[in-house]
Parts: sequence; C-alpha cells; structure tokens
Amino acid sequence: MTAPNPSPHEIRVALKRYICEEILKDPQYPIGDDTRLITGGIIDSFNITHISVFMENEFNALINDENLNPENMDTISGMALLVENALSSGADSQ
Amino acid sequence: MNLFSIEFLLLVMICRLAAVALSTSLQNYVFLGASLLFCLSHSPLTLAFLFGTFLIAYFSLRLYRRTKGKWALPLGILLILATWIASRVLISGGVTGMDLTNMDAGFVLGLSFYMLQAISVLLKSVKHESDQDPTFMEFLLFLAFFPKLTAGPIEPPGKFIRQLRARPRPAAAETVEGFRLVIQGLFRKFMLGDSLLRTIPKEFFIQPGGLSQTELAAWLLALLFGIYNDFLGYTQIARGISRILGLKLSRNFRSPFFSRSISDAWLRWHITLSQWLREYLFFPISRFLARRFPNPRHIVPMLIPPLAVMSISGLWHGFQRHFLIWGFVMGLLIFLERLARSIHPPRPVTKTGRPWHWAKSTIRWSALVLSLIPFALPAGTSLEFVQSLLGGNPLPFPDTPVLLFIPLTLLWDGMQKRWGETFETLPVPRTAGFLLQGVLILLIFLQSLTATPIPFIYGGF
Repeated sequence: MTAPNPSPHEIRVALKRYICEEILKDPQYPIGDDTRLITGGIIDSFNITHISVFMENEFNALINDENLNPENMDTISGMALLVENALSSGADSQ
Repeated sequence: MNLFSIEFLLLVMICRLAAVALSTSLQNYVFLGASLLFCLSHSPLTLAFLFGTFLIAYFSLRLYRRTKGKWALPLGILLILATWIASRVLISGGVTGMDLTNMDAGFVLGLSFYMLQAISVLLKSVKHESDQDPTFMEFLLFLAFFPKLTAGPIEPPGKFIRQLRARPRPAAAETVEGFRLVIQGLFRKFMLGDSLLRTIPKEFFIQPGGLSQTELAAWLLALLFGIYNDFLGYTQIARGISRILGLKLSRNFRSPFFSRSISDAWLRWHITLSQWLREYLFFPISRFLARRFPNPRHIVPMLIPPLAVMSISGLWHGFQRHFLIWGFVMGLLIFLERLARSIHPPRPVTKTGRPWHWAKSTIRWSALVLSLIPFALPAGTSLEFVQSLLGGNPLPFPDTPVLLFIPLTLLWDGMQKRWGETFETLPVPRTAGFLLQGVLILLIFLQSLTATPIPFIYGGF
C-alpha cells in the first residue's frame, strides 16, 4: 500500500504502474497522464472495476459507482483526481 | 397525439411561449400540464401507469425519510418493478419482434423508461440528504416530461432536477441549436430510418427461408441501420425540443459504428440505458466479485457480470424469449472479447498491425450484426434464418437503391464525429450551413408527402 496522504504524483505513478503491469502486462506500455484509455480502446469497463478496487486497497479511497464513468476514468489524471477528491472528502468527514 | 402531429406542435409552441415569458417555477407547471395532456392523449392507461409508478416512488421516498427505515426503498423498487411486470404480462402490444407493421397501439407508453428513472431517484436518495430530494411536482415532471416520455433519454435525476430548479431563459443560440437537432433528427428518422425499415420485406420476419443469402444479409443490415436511425432520430428530436424549451437532455448515441470493442459500442449506443445498467447493476456486481477475485484475469468477474446485466437488458426490451436469448448472446460476446483481451491485451496500432486491427473490427461487427437475429425474430424463426444464411442460395441480390442509405449513415456519422452533432464546427461560410439545413428540410418535406412515419420502435419497449 502507498504511504498515507500520497501526493498527486505518487498516485499517478502507482496507477500507471498497476495499469501497465497488471492489466496490460507490459511495463513499458506508452501511457501518459492524459492518454485516452477508455475512448482510446486501451481499457474497458472490466478493467475500470479492477482499477477502482486497486484505488480502494492502495489508497484507502472509497469510490462511488456513479463516479466510474468515462469523464473521470478516461485518463490517469482523471483517475488521480478522483482519488484525491475521495481522500479529501474522507478526511473532511472524519 | 404523436411527435409529428399538429397537436404536438401546438403543445411545443405553448411551452416555448411559457419558457420565454414566465418564471422558472411557472414554466415547470406549464410543462407538467403539457406532459400530462400528452400522456393522456396516448391512452388513459398510460396516464394511470405513470401516476401509479410516480406515487409508489414518491411515497416510498417520503416513508424512507420519515421512518429512517431503509426497507422503504427496496419495497418501493419492488412495487415499481411489479407495476412494470404487470404492464408487460397483462397488457399486450408494443414491439413483438421487429415486424413493425404489427405494433399494437394499446401498449403503455414510455413505462420501461420512466420506471428506470423512478428507481434511480430512490437509489440516489441513500447517498444524499433529504433537502436534495425532488418535490412532488419536480419528481412527477422528471418522469413525465413530454419530449422524453416516449423513449427517453433515461436522465440521471440530479442533472434534470437541478435544471428544473434554476435555468436561464433559452438563449437565441440554444434555440438555433435545438432547431438544428430537430432537423437532423427528422432527417435521420424520415429519410434514413423509415426508408430502410420500409424496404425490408415482410417475408424477412415471417419466413426468412424464402430469401437468398445476400438478401438476408442485406435486410439484416437494413434493419440494424434502420433501428439506429429511427432511435437516434427520435432522441435528436426529443433533445432538440427540450433545448428549445431551455432544458438539456443527455446524448444517447456517439458514433457507435466507430467503436473499438463491444464494450465500447455499448458506451456509444443507447448511452443512457448503458449508463444506468453500468451504475446500478454492472459495477456493483463486478466490484463485489473483483474484491473477492482481485486477479484481473480471473474468469468469474469476467463471466458473471456481462451475462447477468445483458440478460436483464434483454428482459427490459420485452418478456419474450428471443429478447432473453439476445441478451445472453450479447453477454457471452462481451465475455469472449474480454477473455481474448485478457490473453492478448491491446497494443498500440502500428502500420504492420493495421490489417489485424481491421480483421478484428470485421469479426466484432459481424458478431454484433448477427446478434441482431435473436433480437428481431422469435426463436423458431431465428433458427430458420441462420440455416438459410449458412446454407441457402446466394442469389438473387437485393435490388433497391435504398440500401445506399447504409453507407450514407456511416458517412453522416463520420461527419458528426469530426464536426459535431449538428456540424457546428464545419469550416464553411454561415450561408452554406443555412443552405444545408434548407436542403434537409426540403428532403424531409418531400418524404412526408409520400409516406406516413413509422411509429418509433423504442416507443414500443
């Protein structure tokens, strides 16, 4: 698990590593922060499911089903923002 | 009253007057009155089912807020589903197979669409406080709003109800955009959709064994593109009218024939139904399974969610066996594609890989077109269809120029993908844009002189 209160950079690196190594099985796959992953045909709804579970386990970020849409999940930047928002709203409620 | 009648046009004009002259809350009352009138004009039964569904949903929500008992929501959802099932089982009519000439007008209009919207209000209410709940009038108008009553789009409650509470008066640019959408929709529906659907011989639906292989393949494509243009056309008309009245409805199609996978095709075809199914069924089921089987290549999270969700999607279209078979086949196709992608994850398309990329696209679309057979035909006829397609005579060829509307649809889709839904970014002078709209209106007018419109197919679901 990533350290508590990860920085946006750490979140992006961890997400990129998970997608390349666990989903695409190619650590060298050329993914940038703004590469279109869903609309570009690289990942699909099944992968989003596993990425969301990874977000929960890795960052302790609770992601609602309604947020798992292409607007939020199409790029690494969008996913990282979702994690940051989930972490900050979790911290607010504590 | 239907979307092409003078009465409907009058209703839109009255609502437009209200949209520019009255306050937002008064506009809402006018829209609600128009919606209930539209509903009643279809049949008193339609109005009764609308009120029944609404009252169940509204009072379940009130009960949940008052007692804090979460049991009120599942009870409400069960009662809504029971109402919907009762309408399906007890009242005949609607689409039974795709033989459009047999569509019975006795069906309950739009129930399958507003049933899902009512359920989504109940499910969303768990996640927010009571002050965000829709009022009696907002909730009823959310379900009944007349441009979307016939066949959606299936709107997310938050987005629609926020617009009911506060929206600016429709600006000139929005009104022009609304008219453009209506013109595009009428062109899709009248010129492309109806022409393609009309050209399919009745034999195709009843006795496909009497047709040649090439005829069967051509009529199957005509059916696919006919349904597409019919439903897309309806959605554009509904969205255009709403835009003229100052409300924005969601897009239902985004160039589905340019999709990169079967899952992607479902993100682009009937988007609002796909989103509903993903949010309330697919993700809860698949995330539950993914937590237990975290390996992305485990077969259980790959197999169960698509089979369950697509079978339910089949039943949503109708309780006939062939819809269930279609849903199961579609779920199986999604699973097989996922399995293939888990063994060979996608790689960036290179020049040398392009033929393989095109081959995969061809295989995918062939499977999707063939899956239309159980959707459109009863189980026994489907079997006869497949036997003739595999072992029948290749000749004669179908000889109708209407089939050229299939590549025209693809061309139109490509242009919309590039220049926007109403070609708003097309780099031509403004006068050329007006000329194009004028040509479309002329074509629609000429078509309306020679043929009456076919009822919207999705209005029968």
